[in-house]
Amino acid sequence: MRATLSGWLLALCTLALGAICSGARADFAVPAPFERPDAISNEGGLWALMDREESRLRHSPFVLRDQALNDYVRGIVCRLAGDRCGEIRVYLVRTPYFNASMAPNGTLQIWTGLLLRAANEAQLAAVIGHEIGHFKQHHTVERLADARSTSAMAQFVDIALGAIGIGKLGRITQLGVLASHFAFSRDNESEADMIGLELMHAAGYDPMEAARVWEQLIAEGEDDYGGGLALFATHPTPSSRHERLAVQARRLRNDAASGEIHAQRYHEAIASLRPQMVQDELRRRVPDSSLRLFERLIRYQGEDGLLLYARAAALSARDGEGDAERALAVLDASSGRADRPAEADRLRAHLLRRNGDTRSAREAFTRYLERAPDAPDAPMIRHYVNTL
Amino acid sequence: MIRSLAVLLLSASLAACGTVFQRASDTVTVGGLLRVNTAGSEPWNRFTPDGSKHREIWTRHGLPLDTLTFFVAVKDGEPLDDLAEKSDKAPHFRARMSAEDVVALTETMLVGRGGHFELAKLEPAPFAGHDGFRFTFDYVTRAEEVPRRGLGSGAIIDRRLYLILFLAPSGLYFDEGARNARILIEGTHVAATPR
Repeated sequence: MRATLSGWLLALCTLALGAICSGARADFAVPAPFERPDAISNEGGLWALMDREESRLRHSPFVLRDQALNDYVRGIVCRLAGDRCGEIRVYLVRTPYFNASMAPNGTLQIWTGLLLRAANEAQLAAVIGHEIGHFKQHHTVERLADARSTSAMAQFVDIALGAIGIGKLGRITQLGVLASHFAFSRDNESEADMIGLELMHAAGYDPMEAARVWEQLIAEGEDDYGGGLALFATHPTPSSRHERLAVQARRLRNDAASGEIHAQRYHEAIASLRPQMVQDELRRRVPDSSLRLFERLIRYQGEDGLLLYARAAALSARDGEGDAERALAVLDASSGRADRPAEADRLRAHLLRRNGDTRSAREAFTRYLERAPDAPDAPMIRHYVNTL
Repeated sequence: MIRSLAVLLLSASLAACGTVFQRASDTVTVGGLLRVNTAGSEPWNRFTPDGSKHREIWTRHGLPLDTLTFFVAVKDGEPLDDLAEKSDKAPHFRARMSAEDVVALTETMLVGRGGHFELAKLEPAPFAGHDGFRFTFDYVTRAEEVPRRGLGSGAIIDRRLYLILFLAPSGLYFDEGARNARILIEGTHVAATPR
């Protein structure tokens, strides 16, 4: 038997989580869709700002147009949001950071750094469910109503932008920051967490995956959080958060079957995007946290040519003592895999060349050219082959 | 009154962000080590960013429109992007790096925090009388979403990286600026050995 949201909130309250639930009412019901603010009000002006940002986002070259992937993610959103699905517009944004955000006008951004890091569909659903929790509870709208003037709000937003170095992250994030900035007091966060868990559970996902998302992100890097700093700047996330989520998830699990994680379905859905996401992660050149990420993905998804290449590339980029040898060993172990990208041969050639093994390096460069004869760096590689 | 105030503010902001702009003369020494013959090129304005150890920037139409950046004698273990925030952990140049690695450093510097980068060509080419490389690429940063094009030319000489990078919006600004940039690149020589 699945708990209703109201029943679950009451149950949690009775389980001495009163502090978290102090705002919950006994006659709790999911709020009705809210009305768009009057256009001549300050709130209406800010709403128009969000519409404008969404319009920009819609035309951004960083929004993924892959219909199948968009349909897949939209399916998850609709399973979680139920009859509110029609109010939400999903944008998959090519950005190598772990983040998702929901604006009160229904714009949901999901960054590819999150898609890369989620181990399965349930983990992606956990993050989306959390954002829908904010949306359903009107957290952002509540804060909108608190904004007494646009100048005060502009200052508010500036502070938020500065807080996460958004000047460098750029325009594409502004809508997310606008959205996320309006809410996220600790009570809001806890409430969104609980709603997210409930929505996951109701949609048939294993709620334990919500705790694992945070656990994984924290494990990825103490000072980088797998690129999740942008998220953490607006989602205060103490390390105890995943423990609290785990406790709550276990209670939900006791109430019914554990739920699905849909790992296979998830991996198939994002398969075409993986090479680009891995390349974007490597381009960040934060090899320590990238290595932890790739090793975890290998643990969860099994070895494949792309992830082994990525691991070797991160080791080579770190270039610490013994890293070149370790990278070579990883590449040698992945030799013969059909799914290993041509770049693996090029990387191996450079490592062999550095070791002074010019014959093997020449062979590896030649193999790269056979696989990628029209690569933009082919003239340089031919030069190596001819001069080694 | 307002116009005067605007001029004052603009002057103050320019002064705050680097040395005063100046036009380059026919032969110019960059970073104390490179001699650049500017004959045949349209005039450029010089700009040395505050705090940079090895970078000088030239521009023809203004920094947002075109930049020709000289990275002069970057030491082993130093970040190419030495003006990056410390928290960005800019990757370091290593003397044993390949031309592909230098392209990767450029890529991270421009779009490491998100964006498109597509290498168009990387090939061997002499630089300042040494064996070197040159490359061209297209990129878009998330910060502005303007399609830009770049060309780079460089070499690793005595374990130090010398790299000249020209960046401009694709189209007129790049095409016209690249022609001038190539004149400067071809007229570049190492004038002194770093201490």
